[in-house]
Amino acid sequence: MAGGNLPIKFQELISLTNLGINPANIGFATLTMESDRYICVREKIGDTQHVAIIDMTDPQNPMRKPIAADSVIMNPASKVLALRSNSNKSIQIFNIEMKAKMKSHIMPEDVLFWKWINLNMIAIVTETSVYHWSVEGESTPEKMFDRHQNLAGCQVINYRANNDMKWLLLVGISAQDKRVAGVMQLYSVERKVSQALEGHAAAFTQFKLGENPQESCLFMFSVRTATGGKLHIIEVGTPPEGNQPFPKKAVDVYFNPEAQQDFPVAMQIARKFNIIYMITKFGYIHLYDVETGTCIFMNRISSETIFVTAEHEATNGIIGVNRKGQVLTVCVDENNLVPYVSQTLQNAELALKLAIRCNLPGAEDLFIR
Amino acid sequence: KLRSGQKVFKKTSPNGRITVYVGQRDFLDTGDVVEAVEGVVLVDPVYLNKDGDAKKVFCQLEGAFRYGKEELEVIGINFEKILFNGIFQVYPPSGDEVHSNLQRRLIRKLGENAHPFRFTIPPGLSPSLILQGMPGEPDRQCGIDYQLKSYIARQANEKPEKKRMVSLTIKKLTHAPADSMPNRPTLDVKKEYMLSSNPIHVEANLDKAVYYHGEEIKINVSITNASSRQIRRIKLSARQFTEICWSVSAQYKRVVAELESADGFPLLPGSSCQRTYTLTPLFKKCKEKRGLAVDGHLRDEDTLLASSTIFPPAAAQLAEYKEKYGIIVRYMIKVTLVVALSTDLKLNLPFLLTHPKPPPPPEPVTAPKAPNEPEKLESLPPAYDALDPKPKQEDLIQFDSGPDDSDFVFEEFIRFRVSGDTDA
Repeated sequence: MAGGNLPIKFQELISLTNLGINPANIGFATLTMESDRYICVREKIGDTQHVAIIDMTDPQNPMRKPIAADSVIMNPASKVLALRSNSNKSIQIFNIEMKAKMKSHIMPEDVLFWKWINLNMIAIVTETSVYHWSVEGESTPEKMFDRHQNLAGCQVINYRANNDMKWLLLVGISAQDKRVAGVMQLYSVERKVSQALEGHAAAFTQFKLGENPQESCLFMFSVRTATGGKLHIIEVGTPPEGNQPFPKKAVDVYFNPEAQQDFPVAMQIARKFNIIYMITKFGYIHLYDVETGTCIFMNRISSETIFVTAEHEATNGIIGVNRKGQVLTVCVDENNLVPYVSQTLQNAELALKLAIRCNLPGAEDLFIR
Repeated sequence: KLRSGQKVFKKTSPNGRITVYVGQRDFLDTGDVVEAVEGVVLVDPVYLNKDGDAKKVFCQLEGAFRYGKEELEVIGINFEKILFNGIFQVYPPSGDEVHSNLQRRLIRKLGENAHPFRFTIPPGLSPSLILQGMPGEPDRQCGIDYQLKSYIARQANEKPEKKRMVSLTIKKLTHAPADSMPNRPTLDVKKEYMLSSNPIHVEANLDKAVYYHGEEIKINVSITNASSRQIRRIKLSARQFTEICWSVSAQYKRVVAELESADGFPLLPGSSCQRTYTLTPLFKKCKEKRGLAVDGHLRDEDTLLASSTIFPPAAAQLAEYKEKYGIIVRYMIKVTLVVALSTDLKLNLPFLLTHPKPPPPPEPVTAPKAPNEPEKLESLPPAYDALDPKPKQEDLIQFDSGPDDSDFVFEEFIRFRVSGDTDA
């Protein structure tokens, strides 16, 4: 995308097909990206299954190892790989550098989905329950909650936890009347209570509102129902001592009228700017302000579905992989954000807020108005 | 970085149409067999077949003894003796080549335009050797080298243009088998002096006979001075003796490590001592490099002293071996006792300097069991630990080398040069 005064920077980092990855293996079932550090692709070479591990600091030399697993996910920060075999319900964790098995376990039921939720914990989702398995010590997977009946029969596509793991979220989709419906289960660990919601993509973040002494725990989710698209931002749990509660927000999410089948697929938060990145199935990116829910920017960045995303730490952006094997990043352009919001969006109040909150340039002339 | 995997060296022709890939730059001759010089050549078939003018790709391995630079070829000065010459047509392939594990994996990684080649050098030929800048003629180089070339031509013996050719200097190195010098070098000397009724008795030995490059040599010296002379000090040196037997007859002697010690000296009449000294012959320590025999170029970072020439135990005549090898390299530890008012007492202990045995090729590891094979109870290991009720599960990932198709790290063939070397 040309520079000019766009509030974002967009880049294609690598093309997986150029690294020798078979295009047929670039998809949700065979490719995982738990963080911006590594991409794992399961490939069959000859009659042996392999995993190709792409280290994003040195992508030109993927490491390939023979495996007998149906799913492979790499720890967000270190060279620790979790593998699962569906046929014998076996899950194993290996330290790649030490070439040693760290832990293994046999699950009582089939694992349908799993994900690293932080550096030490894997969330495991079965037909009936959700478990957390810590990498540390001798611990076995610990059941966290039972699945809500509204998610029965859904394809689980995501799982998230807030920073202190007291709020957990399971996301599933199902085909309903020519559209893809999204169902989410929000669970409070302290209250041991679940709530089912309609939603496609969601995230948690911590946000310091106004003069509040402490951060509020915010939950944001976007959905496209039969009637239209919405983004909700609400505080979950009791506001901390001394805090004003966060007033909940609900804003419209715009979808291109020509893309009737489009819906949100990913959400990541840029904590540095308190901006929400939302990506849709058809490859559109939207940016929203966390505090007000204001839509800052929308544009199409990919003609192919982006099926996996993660936070891009280096740029406080979002990184995603599309079906063509392009690994793309989008991030806020620090120099252009405030001028864009002020001049193009004509939203001086938000521009000033962003300038002050995130220490960004471009608001000098706003003081005069 | 996650990078791991086997190193493979590559070099491309100046016109970019052929690239040679080899798994090693150095090949060991163990006396029974030499490690195969093999690899693949990646060709550009469109270029080779364009304009209806089919060109072929050949690989050639030539080992030769050379004296003098080509440019100085004047009658009687230049000399070349070919030790080995093999030519292999790489492309179009004959189709019945047997591929090694490495070649199969490289072909899988590089694609169908990678074609294998292999040369088997018979054991017992001279190893790669260079005699550094001979005295009086600093520009001349004398030595034995092995060149692996790949080139585009219409026929095998066509002299190719430089831009259609890749040339790699490989090193053929020696590994001395254990029985090359079965006995520890030992010497027992008694020297009697004028006007002295009793001798100086020196016994010296080395801790072993065969040393690998870089290893310490321990020299045990036991002196009993029954004479009336004082022994002032001791000098020890490791020396390389090189003899050229082809074209020019010449001999060189170079010190490759030395030490002098007055510790425990002077050894007075009637006393004795026993000490162990250590010497490590190293190329880097050799101050005077002219006439020194090494296995590579002066400035390459991995150049080592030339290994000892191996004479099979049942050596008939030395002359026979001189004729065969062309350049003979031998090593000796010289122990010198400096005796007051007398001639020095000298002992020479020969030893062998060589390379360690190459590691055995890795056992092929079978891929992990396919997941849809049912786990049978009878397949549980017999030592079934009752405290661990979980049946043992097969590992879901394999780390050991096996049919690991694409785990290569490619590096340019060129050996790194050490900078700052001022010698010619």
